Amino acid sequence: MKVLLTDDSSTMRKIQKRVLASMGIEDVLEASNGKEALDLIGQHKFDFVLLDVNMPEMNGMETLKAIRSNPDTVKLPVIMCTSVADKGQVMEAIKAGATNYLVKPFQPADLQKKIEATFGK
Amino acid sequence: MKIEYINPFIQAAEDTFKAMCSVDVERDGELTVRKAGLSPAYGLIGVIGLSGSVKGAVLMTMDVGTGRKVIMKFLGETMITEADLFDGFGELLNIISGAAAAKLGKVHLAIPAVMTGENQKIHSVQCSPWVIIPMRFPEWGKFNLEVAMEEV
Ligand SMILES: [Mg+2]
Repeated sequence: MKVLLTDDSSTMRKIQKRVLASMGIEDVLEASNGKEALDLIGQHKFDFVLLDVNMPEMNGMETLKAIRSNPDTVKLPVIMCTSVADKGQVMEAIKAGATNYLVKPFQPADLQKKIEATFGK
Repeated sequence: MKIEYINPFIQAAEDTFKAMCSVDVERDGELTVRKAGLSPAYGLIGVIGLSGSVKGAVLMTMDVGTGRKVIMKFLGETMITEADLFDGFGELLNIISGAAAAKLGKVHLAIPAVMTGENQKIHSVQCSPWVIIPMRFPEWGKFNLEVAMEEV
């Protein structure tokens, strides 16, 4: 599996990367905002994207909308990962086409479960 | 500022440090209020703005030594860089603020900023006074969460 981690926090990416490694996923690229993520999505074929919401330059919601409006990536699985998880914002992400949703704070096992649930494992 | 705004932050701090750092936190005394103006600050200082159905800001401060222990636990590493310390501190503040904000209505978070220094002054121009929530990690020492907020 090839995965794109998108989060403006480098420590959060390290934590997520370790969870992926524990699942045997080593082919991981990283972006620190939505613009970098869209660039990488244009250049590589990912199996899924982990996408933070609160980021500078281009936030996660804008990025998700851009991914869904491109015919090449309309079906790319995107797991949103955010700290502001009131019902309204979760609904907005689902409507915009998020495949799944992980709320911060999470324990490493929660991220693994969410990925497994997304891929029906 | 309404006292109902405070409990979500205490709960969010407990949940965040428990989930992300496997560490308990507890209250460390009464809430105090800091009027607008200059007040001293030291150690690690993180601040994040909130806008939407409420507006205001959240501040978290702790000693650098305490912060290093927290971020080592957050990262699960015994060696951390200065960049890890600042980034991790900001991200934990972001998570705490987001978890609390979710209970306050439709709130948008700004990007956290983190600074450090021995003789900093925080100049508050908020109309709303800051409520200081003293807290502690039983083994690592004190930290403060400070909240200034008003309804829009
Ligand atoms: Mg973020």
